Amino acid sequence: MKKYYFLLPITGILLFMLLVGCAKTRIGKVELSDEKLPNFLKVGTTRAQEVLEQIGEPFGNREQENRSAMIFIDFQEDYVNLLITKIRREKAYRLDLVFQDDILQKAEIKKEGWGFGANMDPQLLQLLAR
Amino acid sequence: MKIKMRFLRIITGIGITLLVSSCSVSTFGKFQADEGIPSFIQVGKTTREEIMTTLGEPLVHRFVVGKETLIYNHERGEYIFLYGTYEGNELVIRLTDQIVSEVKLEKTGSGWGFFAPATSNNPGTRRSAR
Repeated sequence: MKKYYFLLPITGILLFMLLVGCAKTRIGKVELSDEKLPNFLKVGTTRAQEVLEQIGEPFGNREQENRSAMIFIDFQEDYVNLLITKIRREKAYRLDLVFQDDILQKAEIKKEGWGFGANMDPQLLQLLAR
Repeated sequence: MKIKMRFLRIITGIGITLLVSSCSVSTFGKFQADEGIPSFIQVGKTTREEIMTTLGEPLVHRFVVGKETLIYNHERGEYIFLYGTYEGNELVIRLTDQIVSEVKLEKTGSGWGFFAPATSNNPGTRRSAR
């Protein structure tokens, strides 16, 4: 019987490896989880070019005559697996910027979705930028 | 008895190897972000035609702040043994009169997973939703 004792530590390590796990993913070029606008954004003064320089290429963009709109997203996903408990937390935010004659006219952050223990629908995330 | 014990050890060894060994690599996109900006792209010289011929059709082709913009993305998810990573990048090319006037590489997302793949380790699903 003593000969089988070598299996105990191996079994222990295996159980640990199979029963724990964690992962974190973030998608987006701007942090929006605190639901505060980036400091440099000032309605009436900030230009579209400044936004491109500070944040980068927007996820969604639309231009029509002298009006344009940019959309940035911030998607965060945390996953923890501990013994038999699996927790998956997802948050998605969207920053809408509207420009008139290249000057920021409106800026707002919307919390677009969340998930706890279940995935947000990827199709819905795609719609965020429409 | 000795043969049985040896057999058991071999089986245990193979079992452990199979249980803890797993790997996957997924990529999405038409350029390699880890190699940086493709060397053939030169500001003021390269034409839209050359870019399209070499890289193919972009994921996004639009006007941003009045400039023609081509966007190519590259996403890579890896899971090897116990650790997984995800990274997304995009190549943003702006054209003036069909000649490259600006080119930059921007990070769109990242993730990691320990004892689990990075949660969104599936390039080409939600992050490519443009």
